[in-house]
Amino acid sequence: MALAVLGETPKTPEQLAVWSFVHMSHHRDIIRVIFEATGLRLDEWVIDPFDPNSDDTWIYQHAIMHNQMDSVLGIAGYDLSTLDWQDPEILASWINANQTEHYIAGNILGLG
Amino acid sequence: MPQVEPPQEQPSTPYTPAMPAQGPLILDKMAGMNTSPDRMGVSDDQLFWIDGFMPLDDNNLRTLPGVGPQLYNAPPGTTIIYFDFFNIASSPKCAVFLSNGKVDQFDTDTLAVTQIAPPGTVLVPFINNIGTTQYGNQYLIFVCRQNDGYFIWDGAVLYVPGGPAPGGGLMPLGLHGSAVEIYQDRVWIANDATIIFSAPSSVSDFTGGSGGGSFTSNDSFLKVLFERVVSVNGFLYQIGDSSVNYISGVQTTGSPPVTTFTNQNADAQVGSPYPASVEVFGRNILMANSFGVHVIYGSEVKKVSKPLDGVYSSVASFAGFQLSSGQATIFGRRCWCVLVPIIDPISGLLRNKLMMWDGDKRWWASEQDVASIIFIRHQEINSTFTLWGTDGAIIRRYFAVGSFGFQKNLLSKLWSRPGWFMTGKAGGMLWGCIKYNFVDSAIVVRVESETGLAFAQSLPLPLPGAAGYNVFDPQSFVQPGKLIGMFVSTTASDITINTLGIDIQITEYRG
Repeated sequence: MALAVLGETPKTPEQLAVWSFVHMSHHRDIIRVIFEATGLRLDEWVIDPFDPNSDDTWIYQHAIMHNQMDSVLGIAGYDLSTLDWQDPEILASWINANQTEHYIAGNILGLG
Repeated sequence: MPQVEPPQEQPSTPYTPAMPAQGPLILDKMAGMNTSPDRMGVSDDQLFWIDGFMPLDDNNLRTLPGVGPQLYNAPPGTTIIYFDFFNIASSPKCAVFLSNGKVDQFDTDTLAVTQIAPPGTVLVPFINNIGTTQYGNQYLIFVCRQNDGYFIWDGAVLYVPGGPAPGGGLMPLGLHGSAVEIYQDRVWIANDATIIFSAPSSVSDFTGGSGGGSFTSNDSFLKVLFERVVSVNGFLYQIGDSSVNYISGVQTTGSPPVTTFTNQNADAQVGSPYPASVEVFGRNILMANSFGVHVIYGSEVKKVSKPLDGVYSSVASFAGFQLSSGQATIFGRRCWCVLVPIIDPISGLLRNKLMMWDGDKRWWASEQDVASIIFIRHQEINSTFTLWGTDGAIIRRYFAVGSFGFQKNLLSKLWSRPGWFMTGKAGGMLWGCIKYNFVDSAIVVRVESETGLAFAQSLPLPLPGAAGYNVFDPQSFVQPGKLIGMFVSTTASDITINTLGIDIQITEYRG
């Protein structure tokens, strides 16, 4: 799994497409492995593709997915419910926090 | 020649349209070719057709090198069907599949040839029936579409179905396919609509009891079959003839071990029926199909070959030709090439052309100094990409040595300036600068128009006395029509076109 991609801030439409794909794929893998291991069925929202300029629903649904994942895996987690794709500092901080949670979840589940 | 004064400038009104822009017509930006619009609609930064030159940057359009020496010759009575590269330890090799079912290995450093498999091993030698990959730097693995079609080669020993397997055990019987890849330390084989995978860290154990297995796709979007399996960026992409799927999150757990993974669709409509055209390009995948060249960015399949639309499908169904692709490092730039039969816009003949892309915006075309290329592949070792090709008889390196053995042509746009709708006659001057990196063949610039060759004027440029920049003397001509363009032709082995320009003076108005 190319988790390294999740640490990159996409700057072009092509980079966003790759980032979004890797991100969604990892969420799907996490949901699947948790179900296989525990029988718990977590919510899966369609978070790929998305328009970072006009999609507040994406932030909300994505935050729910992380909250559920963190709760099952015992991850302290970050607040990922606030994001402004146009603000470089907020975006960089969010990207880092999101990737960290994915990295921790991947390690716990043996997903990488 | 009577001098006609241009009309005085007047403010633009609905009744008196302003004069079109004046100024020279200049070819210097070299932003690649674009056959998508009509030749009139090409932007000033681009050319309509580039063949045998590489657009590197502003004022930098350089002739491409030609082939290197012969490095492998097909044995008498046989034809080269397919080849691919691998390495055993650090020794670079090439596996060559011949029309009689034989498989040869040649060392690309020493050129030593070794037989991998005897004639008759591959029962139906055809590009789409063979898949190859390498397992680490230990083995070449190849599969064929035949009942027992799974083979491993370690540089000295061929491991065959039913025989001993490397590291112990037996090679599997009944295993076959047309594509193979290594992903997450497992062997993945595509056999029509079925994907078969090995146990972790095994090249010969595909049994369910060890964590191997298989699945068959009955998805409606698969249509026919999986053409390629490709590992990139942490995913295993399954390229179907009309779709793209991907696998991720592979895990083998439990006792007995069970392998699970996620298998999702990325694109339900676009794939490629040309497995040899599918290539990894960085962290993405490039592939060619009937309507163009596409890049898979994550799950988004995006066509990137719009500039080729004017020629790409000029041969219906490519006359049955199997597209192939490869990469090359040329003048320090990594380029991607796909071999496509097209109708050459200059000669009007069917030619197998290398359509080339810099991975960004620039496209161009080329041939090499061989009669007809039928298959290409690249070798990558130490992050150096070398393109190799064959005409069926010989394998050579391409873009290896400067050559005057093949034609290089350019077609500019057809400019409508200074005033195509009113031009009766005009006179002009052709000027420019060409850097001769090596002085051998002459360059001819033909000034032409919308009338084609009827009134075109060829202006051969004199050869300079020595290498270096040559600002050639302006060449005068009479404009042959209402629109104006340039055709440049040479066999020069190494020149760089910096700038070509035309100054036009209307001498007679129509109407």
